[in-house]
Amino acid sequence: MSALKQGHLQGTTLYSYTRMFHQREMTMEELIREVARRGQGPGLEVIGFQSIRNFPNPGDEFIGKFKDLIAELGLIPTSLAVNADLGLRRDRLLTHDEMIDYMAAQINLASKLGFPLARVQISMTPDVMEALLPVAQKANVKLGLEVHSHHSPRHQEMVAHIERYEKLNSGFLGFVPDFGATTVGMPPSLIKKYRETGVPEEMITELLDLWQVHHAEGAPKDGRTQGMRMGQVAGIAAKYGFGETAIDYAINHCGLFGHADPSEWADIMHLVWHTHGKFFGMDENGDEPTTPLVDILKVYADHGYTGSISSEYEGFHWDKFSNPFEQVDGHQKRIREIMQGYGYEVRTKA
Amino acid sequence: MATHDTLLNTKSLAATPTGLSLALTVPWYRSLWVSSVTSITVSIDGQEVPQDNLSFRLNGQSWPMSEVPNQWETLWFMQDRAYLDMDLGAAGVTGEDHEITIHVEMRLPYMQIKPGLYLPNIVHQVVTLKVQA
Repeated sequence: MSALKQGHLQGTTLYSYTRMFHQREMTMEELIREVARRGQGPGLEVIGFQSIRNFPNPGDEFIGKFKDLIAELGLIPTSLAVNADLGLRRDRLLTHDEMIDYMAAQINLASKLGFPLARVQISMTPDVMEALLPVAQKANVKLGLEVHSHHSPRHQEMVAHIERYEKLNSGFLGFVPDFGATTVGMPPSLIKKYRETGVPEEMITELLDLWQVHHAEGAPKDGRTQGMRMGQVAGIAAKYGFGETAIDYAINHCGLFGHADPSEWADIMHLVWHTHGKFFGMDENGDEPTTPLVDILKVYADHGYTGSISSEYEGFHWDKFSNPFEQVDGHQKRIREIMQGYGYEVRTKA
Repeated sequence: MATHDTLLNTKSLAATPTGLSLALTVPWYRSLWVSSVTSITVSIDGQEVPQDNLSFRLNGQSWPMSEVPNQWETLWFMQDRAYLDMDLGAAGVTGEDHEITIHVEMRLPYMQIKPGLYLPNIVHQVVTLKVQA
């Protein structure tokens, strides 16, 4: 057998363990130690506004302890997820300058904590991203715009970002693909949850049929299409007496399980340093039925990607029973197998 | 979506000298500014508690519900509990069971759908809880 080439850096995000953190079952330090103990690193991603008290100003003591812990455990910080809370005030939106300051504080903290990249979200316009470029360069922190369902590389808003980043050619502005943008169905665990909560079979059938209609049409390229689709889902929920929570069905259906083809990731791979390996639950065969890993990782293999991938378990939203640590173990194992088949050895050591 | 069932747990209901209090966990995957809370309505055993009798308490500060949406400088951290204090005119009784219907509407300040309109996060729970000591 020919020698394997070095592949991407394995990792996970503490987001996978949201439920344990919420319920105060584990502290941030305990979660990080368990990630290391299970060999789910070395890559470690953290959501600032989730894990860090007083974010983005946690104080020097926290920063020192975090860096000591990472060093002790041999982990590699990959991405600090930051947020653009444009609507923080009720009386008005943040101004452009206020937004730059709001983001700069988070990006600077990423730098102090040793993260090479800050994940940002689509509420950022190309103009704000360009305005943040000097901040990112000074902090030596790359900015990765998450490409999360319902968006995809060919959504018109993403295309505007791609054009801007290519024009600036800075090496600091890029993307964080989220595998949830390229799914092949709704997760079995969610359908099971719907059944358990009394959703009638007829409604489930209508939801699944509508998902297939949207899938055949492809990922939305504009906000109007997305709004129309959400309205369709909410209409089904309301028809069956779930009007109170119709928006939740719409957000799940249209917001989490995207319709883009995995081949679209090739459009942006030259601007990708970090990835959200989003998944919703491993099945009894060790496969992930919702995100087609074989097809997605083919794009990564063809590109020779050596950045990081966080296994990002999201089934916890509706699945209270599966162990998220075991879920991430299974996901990483499957990814290593697939990448080996493509001739790559996933990097599992710092 | 999103961890709605984390808002309350079996230990959330407590007695106060003037009524009852509910310990709330932020029903989202990240900490949110208190200004993200649009409204909370709550009924106890089918009886809605008037808005004027509710207050929202977090880390030693307390606001009437009408002031909650203006608190954009206070962060409701994931592992902190906010308390919905309900003035019922009489002290709560430890050990009693009450059916709680709670409806929380939030807006996610980083998810603007179109100018001025944010993705809402709506939690609607009906649970029977025992008053804790």
